[in-house]
Amino acid sequence: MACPDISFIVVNYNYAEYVANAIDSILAQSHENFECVVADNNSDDNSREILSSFENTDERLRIRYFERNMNQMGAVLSLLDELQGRYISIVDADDLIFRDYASKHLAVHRRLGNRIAFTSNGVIEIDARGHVLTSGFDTFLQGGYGEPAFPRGTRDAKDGDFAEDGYCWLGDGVTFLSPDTTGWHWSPGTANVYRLDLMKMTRPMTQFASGVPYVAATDNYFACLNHAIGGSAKIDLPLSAYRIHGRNRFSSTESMADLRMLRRRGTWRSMIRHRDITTEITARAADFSRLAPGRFWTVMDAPARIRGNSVTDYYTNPHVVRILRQNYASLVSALGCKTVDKNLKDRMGRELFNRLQPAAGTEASPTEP
Amino acid sequence: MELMGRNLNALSCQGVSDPLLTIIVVDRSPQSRIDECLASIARQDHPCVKCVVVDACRSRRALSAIERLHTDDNAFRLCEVGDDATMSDIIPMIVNEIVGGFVSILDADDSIFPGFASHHLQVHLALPQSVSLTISPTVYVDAEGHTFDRSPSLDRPELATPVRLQPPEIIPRLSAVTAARYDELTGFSAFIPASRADWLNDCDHIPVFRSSMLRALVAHAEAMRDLGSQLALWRLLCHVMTGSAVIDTPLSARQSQDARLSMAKEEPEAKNNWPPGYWQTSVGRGVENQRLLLEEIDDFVWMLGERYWDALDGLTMMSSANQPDYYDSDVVAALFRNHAPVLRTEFGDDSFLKEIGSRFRRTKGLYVVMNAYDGSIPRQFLDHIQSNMSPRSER
Repeated sequence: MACPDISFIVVNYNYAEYVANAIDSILAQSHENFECVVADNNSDDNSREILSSFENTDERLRIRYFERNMNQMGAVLSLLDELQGRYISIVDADDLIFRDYASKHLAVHRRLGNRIAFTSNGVIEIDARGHVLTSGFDTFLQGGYGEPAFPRGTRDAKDGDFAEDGYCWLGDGVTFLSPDTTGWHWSPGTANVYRLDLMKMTRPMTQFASGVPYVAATDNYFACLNHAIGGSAKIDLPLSAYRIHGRNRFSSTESMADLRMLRRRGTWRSMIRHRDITTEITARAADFSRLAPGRFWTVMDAPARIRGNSVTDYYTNPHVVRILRQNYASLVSALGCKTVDKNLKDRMGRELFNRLQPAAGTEASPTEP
Repeated sequence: MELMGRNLNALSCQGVSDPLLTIIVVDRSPQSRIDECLASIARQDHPCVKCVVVDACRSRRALSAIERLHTDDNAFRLCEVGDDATMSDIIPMIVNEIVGGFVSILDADDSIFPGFASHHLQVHLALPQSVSLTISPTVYVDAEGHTFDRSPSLDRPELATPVRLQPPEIIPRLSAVTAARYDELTGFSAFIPASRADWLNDCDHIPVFRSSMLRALVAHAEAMRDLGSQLALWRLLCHVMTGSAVIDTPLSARQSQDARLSMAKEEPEAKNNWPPGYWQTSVGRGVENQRLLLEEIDDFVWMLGERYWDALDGLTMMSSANQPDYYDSDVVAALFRNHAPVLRTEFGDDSFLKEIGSRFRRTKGLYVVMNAYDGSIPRQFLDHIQSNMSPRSER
């Protein structure tokens, strides 16, 4: 079989009533060159019975059964190295994708030179039984950011996807967000197609060994971090359905403008998980400075800016200070003492920076007395 | 449903289906027009409608009316109430009967036009930002079914802003809404911001709520004693949370004996023009509405953030011209004084003092603030009220 263009991962935990829908929707893709790995996180409903009915039905489909609940991120990290596609989409087991999901995402990536970190589509929010609730996720719809990815005058006249008759989704509905764009602009759940090579380079390596349960939503980590490195593009067209059924730790109702409908627990968990990004960047500062040459501090600021928070508030958070203290030597080794001290001082303030003592056993120390 | 000219059900491998509207009919009178009401629901051009009839008057006419319809067994259902049940018992039952993402509550004397469900649901889906309720005007009919009046238009420039629906290509278009009708809906649709709640005085329009918002609000509000008051409160709460969308074409009918029995009152410019007793009643109503948000402050601040204060103002149901007089009332000051400590905790000193200072005149403001500071008055607040924090009417 030729190398797949796109890899799908479905991580299932006790979503027996929905997971078949999710898998069927992947297998029905109009773009046929894909692979799909379904991982079961040791469900105790009848998920395994349902998944076993899919075994050996399609050579593009593989099923994996984990002996313990790895959580979504843990399961994804365990499978990342076996994937062959150029792009990856993580499909929530309670969501589903439309037939042209893969083809449209690939069309955008290719026309943007395969450079951007990920693409994100509009979602239709549905209830537990599949009835439509909204035509889009609110933060995705509240636009005004970015610029047209394919402005008129730059389009290839011979490219049939830029047809002039009627609504042109590619020409009129795709927006490019540069890495410097702050805030959260993407759809939740099953809506994002990432470059797999970038995901492998940015995955958390230092905090959790492979094969360990890792409580984190993948998008909270990868969308924020990878966007800051490579930028992203929004496809203003529903290409998948996001199911609101009340059992998700993040949301219990559909999105509504100017209202925070996310659960408190889910929101706070997201904020905590953003600090994982800071841990990873600082611990592997040399890697990230190569990934984003000249833009290391823009990437460092990504977790702070994702919710529109003040950079200073983020860098003065005691947990973040602890992370910076622990990984100060790694930062200095990668970027040099002068650069690190100046940038940290700008963000933390002089007083807090002066209390940033190196971890025991290291030689580097702040230059300020 | 269609999306980009293709069948959405097929596009999603039968995973996505039409939005579901629950219509709850409350039969309160043995003389109601329950047959006409249910027949109008059965004639809906939208395929995904469920109806629950609450036989509040226990006349059993509702059951007969359902049987005469000969419809799909699942489309209409009777909800019986106990002999001793009052409206306070029935109202929570109504909420428990809601299925699907949208709900409308009718009296058995109401009837809806065939496009009621499809038009409301399509507008809900097509708005550039979601709201928790859509509303449309009602026509009034006499006992013979002749139309003699309609509820006032809400699509007025001083109240509502025309809203451009999203391009039909990128949202699900319901099967009952043709392309031409979709274009017409764009012309009929307008948005009333959350800050304008005064129009809800005696509003007689039948809304379609988002079920999730209704459930979230009902969890905090006690059931009221009559259905009309309950619906009015739900309408108000939903509106102050998100604003409302208006579809300015009649989509329902209501039987009425007299012309314009219910209409949006034109609020006098100053409270001394109000009819005797009306001011006190209005203030009392505002206090009860605000009490809900103040007692459940934790949850509402989480949802609304800084908009919490605007929502509080909206719950007065008074125009911005009359709000200073509202906040000058002793009973309102007492309400905020009682909740001053928790308001201060939620918003912090700066924001708390600024918001109180902008609403209450000096002595009332001091009276409120002192309770948040164990009887003392922060220097910051004294500076506030002396320098730039004047009541809103003076701005």
